Amino acid sequence: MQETQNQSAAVIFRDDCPREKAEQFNLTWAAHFAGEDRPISSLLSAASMVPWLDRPALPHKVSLSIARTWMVDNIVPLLPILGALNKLDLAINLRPFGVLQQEILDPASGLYKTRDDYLLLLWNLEDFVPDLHMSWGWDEKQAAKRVQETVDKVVSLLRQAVQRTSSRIICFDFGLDPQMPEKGVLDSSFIRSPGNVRAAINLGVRTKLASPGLSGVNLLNLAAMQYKTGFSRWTDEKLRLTASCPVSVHAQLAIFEEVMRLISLDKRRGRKVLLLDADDTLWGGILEEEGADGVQIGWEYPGNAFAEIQKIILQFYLKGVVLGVCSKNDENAVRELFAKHPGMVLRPEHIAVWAVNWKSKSENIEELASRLNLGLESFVFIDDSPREREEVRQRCPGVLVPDVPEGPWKLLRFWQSFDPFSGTTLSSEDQLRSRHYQDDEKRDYLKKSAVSLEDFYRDLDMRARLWLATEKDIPRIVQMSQRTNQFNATTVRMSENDVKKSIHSAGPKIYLLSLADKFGDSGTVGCMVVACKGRHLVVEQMMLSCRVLKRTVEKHFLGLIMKDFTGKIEDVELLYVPSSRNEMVREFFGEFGKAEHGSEGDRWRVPASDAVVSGLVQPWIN
Amino acid sequence: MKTGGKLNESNQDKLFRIFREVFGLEKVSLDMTKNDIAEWNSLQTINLIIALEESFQVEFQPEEAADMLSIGIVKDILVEKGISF
Repeated sequence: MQETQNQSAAVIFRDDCPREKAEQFNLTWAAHFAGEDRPISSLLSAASMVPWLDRPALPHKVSLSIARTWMVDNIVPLLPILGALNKLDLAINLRPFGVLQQEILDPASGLYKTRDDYLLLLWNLEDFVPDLHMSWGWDEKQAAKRVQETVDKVVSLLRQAVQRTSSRIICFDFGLDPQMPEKGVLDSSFIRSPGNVRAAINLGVRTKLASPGLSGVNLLNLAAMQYKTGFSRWTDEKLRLTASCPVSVHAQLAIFEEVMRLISLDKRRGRKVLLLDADDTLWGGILEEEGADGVQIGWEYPGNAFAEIQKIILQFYLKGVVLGVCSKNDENAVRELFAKHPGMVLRPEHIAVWAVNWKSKSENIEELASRLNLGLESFVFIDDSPREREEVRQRCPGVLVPDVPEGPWKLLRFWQSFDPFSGTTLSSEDQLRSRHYQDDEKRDYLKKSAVSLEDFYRDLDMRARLWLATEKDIPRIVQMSQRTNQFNATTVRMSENDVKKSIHSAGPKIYLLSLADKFGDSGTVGCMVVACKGRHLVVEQMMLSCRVLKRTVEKHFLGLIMKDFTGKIEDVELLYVPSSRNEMVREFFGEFGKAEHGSEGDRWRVPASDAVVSGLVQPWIN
Repeated sequence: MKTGGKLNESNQDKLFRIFREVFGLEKVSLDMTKNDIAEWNSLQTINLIIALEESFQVEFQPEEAADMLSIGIVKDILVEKGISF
């Protein structure tokens, strides 16, 4: 029931979009927004409509970086559509998989060069507490310590991100764990159960976010989304175990829809004034006819529904929304009801403007707008009468006039999910105010900087092993060769035969690297094909699994190889053939200076000196 | 024969429609391979499999994804799962 969802989806496409395609799109998404269960594939296939998006007509141009330990690449093509449905012309910058912490901790990382408007962090609690399943064995002190350490780590990451980027940060808490739910009724009463440790961490992070240096971080509630989506639909074990995405595609969609709504509310600046009709909107019945004793507001149905509605409206007031009553009624009678009726939740002091008279509602709204010096776009008007709604829509374009259902309990359901004001509570004033604190805090913070990148590497407890490939390594080499896209220097795809030949011939050699760390053993993660040509060692291929990126493993790998050839070579030649996805290899090789450009790609020459080798071998990898 | 989706749509039409929608293609044919379709990488295979599973009411094992090298092969795998073409 968000504001944007009342819009027709059709408006987002250009005129040359095939009509039947646009119609099909509208039907599918209208049903989806109405809460009907649509096949997820029919929603995903909307990505094929991206070429017809009418981007110039979208009012807000927005760029979003996504740093992640989640694989969400499959849904990225759909994101421009989700953006457009929220009036956003969206540019996406999908950061490399699995390097979220490294990118945040490294002040020079590519993440901070992007200067996108928003930065979304997709992380898992397991990134911080890989041994959460062991929490049963912790004593209470240990549990408290682990909770505190984790909260500090997460908050430290967020602080560093806030200080190093101008992007607004959007992230999620860790929600509930659908993979490890409390098994028995008693589990939840143990303070050390994984579920309770998780809950304590969530609460700790949320509490810390109130401190000044962290405003500008939007921490969304993952459990609320899990609850709405349903646990059984939230998870997809096949996807989690085979594609490193911890949630189902349903959940991916729910998460990105939420992110788009947040951005659109933030961009649009929320509406400021809530104008309310009185009879059958704030209470049941007609005051003029039934008198103050006859209207329904209080403890019994339907009065209790209206009382709850008033509680929701009161929360808007407390968050800064201006409330007004706009009703065809006798003003004195209405004011008296607000002041004296025992069942009323809203009281006269909550109401800033009274437009209670017999003039048309549109006339009243126009007067209010000029009196408050606000545009009509600032107003929301709620009325149970379709005729009144239509009158306001016709004569006061810009005012948000949602259709509301008939019947008190349905009306309550409407209010429970209606919030066009979120932008007001997310206002940038809070951010500005906090900037002052931030400068002070920054100095303080840099002194006692909690986690550095080096700490992070050391904390990983990495152990590497290098060996020359043999027959039994063939399947893994083929797999890496076929699948590695990001850290792949030349993107040569080798078949099983190619690898076999290479292993059994005297030509180029295949070196492999495995890595274990505190999260467990990652197995074979690096593959290098090198050829010795006289006193030169040519690195024909270099690949690194995306599981171990940005952990200085690439340096270590190269260092180990050079160490292996000590005394036999003068220099190493690094070959690079650009692809659409391997920019990070160029960045790495770029650290060795300028490349020679050739027709087939670039070539770097690195002297095989002791100084170079000891600079490459990493102290935090054993 | 298992069916689902649009009325009067043959299973072959359905298969082609899925490929068009998932990969944003204009024309498809059984002999098209993974190499012919730029967007057909391991990550978009996720969306392809979800679409196939929902439309044909079948289930794929992770191992089967690796075998899907052309549209024709995908059809063969569906035939093995009891879908008639």
